[in-house]
Amino acid sequence: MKQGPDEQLNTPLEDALLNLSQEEPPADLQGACIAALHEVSARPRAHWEPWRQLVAAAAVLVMIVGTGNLFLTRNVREKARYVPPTEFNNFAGRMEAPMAPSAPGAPPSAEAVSESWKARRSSSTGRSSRRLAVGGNPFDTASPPQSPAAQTAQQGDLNSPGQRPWDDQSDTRRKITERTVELETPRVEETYKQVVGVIEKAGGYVLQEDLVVRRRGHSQARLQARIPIAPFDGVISQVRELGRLVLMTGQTHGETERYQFDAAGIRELGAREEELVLRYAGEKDRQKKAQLARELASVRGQLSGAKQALKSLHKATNYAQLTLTINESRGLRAVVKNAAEAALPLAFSLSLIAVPLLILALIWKRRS
Amino acid sequence: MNTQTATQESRGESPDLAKRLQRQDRAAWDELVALEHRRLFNLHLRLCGDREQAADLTQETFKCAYQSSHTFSGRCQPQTWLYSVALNVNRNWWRQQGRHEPPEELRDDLADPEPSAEQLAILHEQGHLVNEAVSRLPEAYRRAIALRYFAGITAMEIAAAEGISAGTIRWRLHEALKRLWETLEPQLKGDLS
Repeated sequence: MKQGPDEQLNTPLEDALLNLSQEEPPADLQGACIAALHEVSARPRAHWEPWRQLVAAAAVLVMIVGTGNLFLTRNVREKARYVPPTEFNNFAGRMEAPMAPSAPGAPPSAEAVSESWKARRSSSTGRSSRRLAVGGNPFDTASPPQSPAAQTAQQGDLNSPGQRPWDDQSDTRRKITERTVELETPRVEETYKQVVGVIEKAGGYVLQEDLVVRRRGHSQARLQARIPIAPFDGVISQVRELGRLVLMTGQTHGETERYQFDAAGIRELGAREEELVLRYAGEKDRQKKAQLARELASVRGQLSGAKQALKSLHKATNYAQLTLTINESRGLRAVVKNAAEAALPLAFSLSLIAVPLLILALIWKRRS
Repeated sequence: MNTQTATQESRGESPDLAKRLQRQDRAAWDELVALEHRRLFNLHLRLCGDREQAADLTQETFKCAYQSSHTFSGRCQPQTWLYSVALNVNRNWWRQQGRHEPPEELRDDLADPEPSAEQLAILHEQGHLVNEAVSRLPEAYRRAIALRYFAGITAMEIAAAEGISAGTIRWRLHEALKRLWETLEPQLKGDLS
């Protein structure tokens, strides 16, 4: 053997250790060693290496998939959009907004009241439009701005003198129609957009919407819409074709009598108002004039409340309400997908325990 | 003919023994057994102090070496690698016996060994004293002593087998000898008196 530079110069103790007499081994030791080697070499080789590599690869795969699933789930949670109902869409809420206070000392005219109501509504619309302009998410296409037909329905018809509901003295049947529809579809977001398109094309508008789209898991969309009564049945038919119908319920309330009664009451109050205005104009006495002004204000107050109620009723009877729920379909693929999604976190959790145990087992096996 | 080949031939081994051992050539392993079983037995005997146990450990060493022959890189002599396997086998045996390693502490108070001629003569006659003293050394020192003086491997080869520098091995040998002498000297003095 190769000697180091200082290994030629051993101390006496080192020499003594090197020259310690070697003991003779047992006579059969060489044979026993060779036999032991024969025994080892004859033994079929354990498939240790491939098994270990496979297990290690599987463990790494489980860790990667589990970790990836965790991150993906978190991202999906962040990306899943919840669109809360907006007060903008609540048409009934706008209709019930309080009237502007009258100028002190002078009774407001009917035109002034009407202009005030229009101004409030336009400011409300502007505020909501600004809110919707933020973000530019894909669901905004399903939200207002509403179709021209819907805007006309909300702004034009109720204020044009020829279409004042209290002027309508025909025998037209007035009824409130509601439909609840539940659909199943594989692509919730796409179907939701199609539904909104159908509604807006028919002159309707969305009152409330609630859309939750998940990359994994159950996506769902819910909306409440107002649709003109004439094309309502056609809209329902089109909506039904966009997915698999799960449920449909409907209710209709007759409101003709109430409508006619309220309209007649408004006409009476209008006549009373007209009379009071004429008396007020011809009265010379200040005290009586003040008394007439108070009476006129009271009548106009009643008139305003009655008109608001009738406008709401008019709206409810002219626009049917659709409550639609769109669920992600639960086919075999969806079931398998959901099962896999549920299994991945479990596999990851198990791997957190199993991988260290496996490593310990590998170490133990190797040592033994 | 280079130095390594000359050394191999002087030890009676084939020139390509290392490669054949790696290939688990049975003839090569038989050759290695014939060459090394005696020194290996003495190594185990000095470390465990029992002939029967030393014979078992010798067999176990060859078996372990054969099974782990793929780990032999050829960086050192086959004998060096075989003795490092033997020391691992011995260490496992000690562990199974429930033996605890003595604490490995640095000591500056130890004198260099300066045995007299009489003491060396007694030491030569009573080899078991050395075995007992070696068994009390910390593991790193015990490995160094066993490989260097009982297996006859140079410090450079021990360093190659252990994967550390030759300087470290020499320092360990120096420290180990001082500790060994600290144990042996009182006994040898007693024998002389």
